[in-house]
Amino acid sequence: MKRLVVRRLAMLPVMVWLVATATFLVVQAAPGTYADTIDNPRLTPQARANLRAHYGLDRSPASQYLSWLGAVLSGDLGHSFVFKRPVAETIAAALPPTLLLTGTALLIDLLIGCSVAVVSVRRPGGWADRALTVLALGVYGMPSFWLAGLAVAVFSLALGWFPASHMWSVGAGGWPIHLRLADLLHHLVLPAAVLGLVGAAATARTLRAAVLDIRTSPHILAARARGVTERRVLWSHTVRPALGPLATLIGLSLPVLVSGSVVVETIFSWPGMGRVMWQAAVARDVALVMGCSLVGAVAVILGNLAADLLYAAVDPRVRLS
Amino acid sequence: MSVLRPSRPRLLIGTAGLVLICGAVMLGPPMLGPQPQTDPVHAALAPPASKITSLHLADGRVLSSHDVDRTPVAWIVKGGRAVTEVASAEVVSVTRHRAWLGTDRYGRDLLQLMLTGGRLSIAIALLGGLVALLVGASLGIVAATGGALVDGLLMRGIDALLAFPSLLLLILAASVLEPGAGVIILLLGLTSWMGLARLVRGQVLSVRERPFVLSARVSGTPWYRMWTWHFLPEIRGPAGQDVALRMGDLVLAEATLSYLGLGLPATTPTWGLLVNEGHRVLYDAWWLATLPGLAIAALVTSFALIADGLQDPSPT
Repeated sequence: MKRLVVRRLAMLPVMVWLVATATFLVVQAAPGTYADTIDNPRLTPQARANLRAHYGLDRSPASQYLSWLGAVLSGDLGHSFVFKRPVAETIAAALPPTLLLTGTALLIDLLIGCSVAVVSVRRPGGWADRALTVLALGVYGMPSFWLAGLAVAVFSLALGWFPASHMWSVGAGGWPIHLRLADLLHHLVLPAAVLGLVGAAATARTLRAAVLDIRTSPHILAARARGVTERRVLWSHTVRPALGPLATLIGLSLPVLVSGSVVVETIFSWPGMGRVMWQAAVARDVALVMGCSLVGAVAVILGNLAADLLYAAVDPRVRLS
Repeated sequence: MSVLRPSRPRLLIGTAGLVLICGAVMLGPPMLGPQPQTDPVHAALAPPASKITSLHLADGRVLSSHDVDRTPVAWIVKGGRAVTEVASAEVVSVTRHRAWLGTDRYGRDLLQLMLTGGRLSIAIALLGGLVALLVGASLGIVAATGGALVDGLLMRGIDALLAFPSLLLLILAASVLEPGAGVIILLLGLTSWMGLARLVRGQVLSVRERPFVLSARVSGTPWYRMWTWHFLPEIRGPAGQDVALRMGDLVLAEATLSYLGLGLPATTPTWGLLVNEGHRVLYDAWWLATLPGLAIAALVTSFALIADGLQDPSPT
């Protein structure tokens, strides 16, 4: 186990470097630079050329790449053109909102997903199972942007229960702390529910399949033959081994936790990583795009590692091999 | 074990849904005939099932709306926050048709738009899925059979690709290339084969150690027979299931791209774009965002049902 962790961590810089290089290539292949995407008709071609020279965007791709690589190795992620501040600062500002949103969503996702899976495997093929499976399939097919629009239409436009966008109310900065917290939670409900619901459908599907797989394995039959109560069969003989697949699911959702959702964050104007990355990509903000993809790549690799470690933690059989 | 089990209700329902959507999308636009010329002012945002009355005027203009009144001397065309009165003498002919799903912001029939846009979704799913299957399966087989070095390189490459933020790739690629239908299909297909390659590789590696394969090898079965008799039948089930699910994901991915305005140019009424347009008038016209979204959900769910149906029989 220790060797696995060490080997994976040793691979980390290589993988991150690969991803960063690939990102750089794609950004370079995209036509135009930041100076061309500024939407200002009064900017003359000369001014745009000056901007390009000022930001060093007129240099050869190789030299831009090498200077970026050198800066990163010394711990400097560069400067964002769009946000006019260091990339590290931009990402640090965008991470907490994203973590709050995706963390809440993951919680909702797991709560709904696990309950659906447990209810439906009580009697596989029964009416509850069939209804829930069909429901989960239906939700699985729904595009998140559509669900988000529907939620806004129903719960903020028609019913007026929740705000339709943003993280804070206007002027909330001066409020006392408990009101601000309530305000934040109020704004969190819709985006987190949409993200959580979309995820829950996939979670429920995966978990149901995993649990069913366990239910047909011999140890359940043996337990029943010994006269173990049905409740014990469910909770300690079925749910316990299902924690492995669950751990995998949680580990694999770590990247989404960090990189957020472009669609939901854009629709709800949530100031998180997804939106930052989207703005950076559209504006060809090279340093910021690279910074975001670095963070994303590290999250993916650590997430995979976490998934394997969690699996080993709950399933002793994996530890042995 | 046969992969297709038509007795399974889910497989049947999913296939039926897919065939229904495919049929509607292929046969629908020609059957509905050429889109009647409507005017973008009065006919805009007519609710579903409303009857659109079109007045063809002597000067060649067409006025149409779902809200038309007639007085002895004139026609009063209302709708779209505008009222136009035309003398009866100017009206050459009157035609009526029904907008079953309502109209969009420019007075176009939503049903017609959705059927036209659905062709792209179907094409993305089937062709993109095919691309993913071809690339994924062949690389998976190469990784499983090509020796430790090839395997290691391919698997690390796949890890790196999976760690690459795919949306970023799509955003950037959509701006590099002129987004045509072929480009989008290739792009989506080429960014979604990694899981399949892993699956096929794992399947081949595990089947290779099974006793019946070992005994087949011992008894001197030629390599091509090994594949046609033993490997491919074992891969077919899981791979088919994965591809079906992935086709649904491709539809979702394309819809997301179109929604964000990165897909095809706005002249193609893709479902994602229609939802986007609907969101601009969410309060005035619920159908414009809701119905195309339902179409996406129906298509993706059909694929998911098929994938479910292809699964090993669930114990009951």
